[in-house]
Amino acid sequence: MLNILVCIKQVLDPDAPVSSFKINNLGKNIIAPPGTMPVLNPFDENALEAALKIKDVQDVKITVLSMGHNLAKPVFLKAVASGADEVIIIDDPSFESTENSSFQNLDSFTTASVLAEAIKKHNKYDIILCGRQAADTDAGLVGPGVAEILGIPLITMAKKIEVARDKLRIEQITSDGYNVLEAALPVLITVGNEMGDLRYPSTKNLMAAKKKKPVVWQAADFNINVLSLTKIEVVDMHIPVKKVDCKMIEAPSPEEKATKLAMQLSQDGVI
Amino acid sequence: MGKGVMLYCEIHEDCLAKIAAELASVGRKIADELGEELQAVLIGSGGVKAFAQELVFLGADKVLVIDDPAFASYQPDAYVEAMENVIKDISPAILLFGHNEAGRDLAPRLGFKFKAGVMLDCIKVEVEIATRKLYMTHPVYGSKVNTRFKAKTEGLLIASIRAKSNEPAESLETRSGEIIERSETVAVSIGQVQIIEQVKEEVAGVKLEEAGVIVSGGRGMQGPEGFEILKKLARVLGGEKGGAIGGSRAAIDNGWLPNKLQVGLTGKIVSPSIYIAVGISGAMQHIAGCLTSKTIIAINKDPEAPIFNISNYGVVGNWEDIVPALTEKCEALQ
Repeated sequence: MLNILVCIKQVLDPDAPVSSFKINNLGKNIIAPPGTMPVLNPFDENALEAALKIKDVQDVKITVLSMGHNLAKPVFLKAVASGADEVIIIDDPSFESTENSSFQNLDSFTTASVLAEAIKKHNKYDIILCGRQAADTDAGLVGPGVAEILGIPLITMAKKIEVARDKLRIEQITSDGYNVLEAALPVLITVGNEMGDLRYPSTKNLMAAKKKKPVVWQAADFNINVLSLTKIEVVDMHIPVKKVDCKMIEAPSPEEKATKLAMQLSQDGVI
Repeated sequence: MGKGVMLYCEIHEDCLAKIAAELASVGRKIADELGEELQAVLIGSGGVKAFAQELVFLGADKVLVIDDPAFASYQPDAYVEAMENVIKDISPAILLFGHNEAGRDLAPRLGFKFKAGVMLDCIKVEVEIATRKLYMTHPVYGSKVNTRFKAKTEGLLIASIRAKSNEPAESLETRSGEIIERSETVAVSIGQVQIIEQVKEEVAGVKLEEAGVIVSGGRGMQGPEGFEILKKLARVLGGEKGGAIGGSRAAIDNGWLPNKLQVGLTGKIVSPSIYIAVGISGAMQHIAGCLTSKTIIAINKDPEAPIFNISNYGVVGNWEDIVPALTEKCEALQ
């Protein structure tokens, strides 16, 4: 039986429109647009799907780990209903709420350290899966950081994972195509959208998920002072506004629009 | 305490990787402002030294050349070990990578190994003259918000730089510098990760990152067939050597185009003279990939599509009607 750990993060909906974002007075934090529901980081959904694809063909136990305060019920349910066997949350008073902690108290170094400690405490893993980056910070450091702290091999950007006895065959995205890699266990793998969308849970699994509860550990139990670990801090934030005057090409028919555009581009020296 | 700026440079297909010139411009400025040296490290197998002079012309005071069969292709364990030794010997204050495979893989590993401050995908890395502190600008929330970061502690800083976010350094043959051959024999002969095969997905024509004209299709294409029409437009405007097609994430996720043609935050960052977005709504993650294009033209049937906010020219309508006619007209104008 393979033990798979999937690290997930709850984030502000990355599809929320820019116009709804507000920067707080001190310029160091984003204020969530009213009514925005937090979601499971989309790349972590891909990581969960990667675990489920392995579960499709062999015996695995999937444990989901998440560091944060108050994991939203829908996020928890989604993880469990999709096929996670258990969810472990690592909590700490300094984590406050998702949007504050992502930028103020925590940085990737801290998150990776805490997750690594939790993983050491859990002590049962063959494969650790992480999304390539969190859709709020877009940092891309926690996965590699956890691998480095645990001292296990790391493979970034996997699009396919196959298990063959005690080795993995992995297809890794490159700028030109992909590499085929072979890795021994244990290993930490990061994934992106190329792995595939998280499948919809069955109604049966959704109902069963409602009866489950997460296991909660306190970061303080790991004997690390969370706040002392941070290496990077926010100076300020701003929403860039690109002022472009868009020449909208108007004409009665599509063909005339095309002609007008071509003429305009030629006139303006673009073509 | 570390001193100086170090650039991690690569050789791709017998050329110095283009991003090296962008790293050199960022690195040279920082080095000058700190009054320190700019060094570059070049790792590969066979004829690596030949590329070192170019790095001197781009502004490096010293270039470390590591040439050994162990580094024939990017094998993570071997490269990490080599770079670990370099960092221990040279002790730079800041190490800059391009934000590419090495930036996403090697930079974080080294960062955690050295307990350094790390920031990936920076559009700017600058010195605050008064304090000599380095400020890194990294866009967050899918490239919607620019955030400036700085290190809380002293010590090594590692940053990866987003392609096309900085002007490339000028290559000046009047510059001089030292080229140092460095031998590295890595202890890892058989890594725990083996490369079995390297597959290149052949796509005819020019690479996206180098194309002068790119016509990209998104969800509005509704299938793979329409991309042939986009290809025609790209060829008319850019020629065989200069025109390419690309796609938004939707086009790739739907399997209409191979991964390597994805334009966006988690795909390729492109900067052509002409970028035409067809049936692409304009999510920030996509725009981040094409924003530095000289001229952006959008064709979309939705007049409210956010793509029009960042385009120079916009046409509302069905691409099936507009693109073929546009191709014809542009061809006639040539």
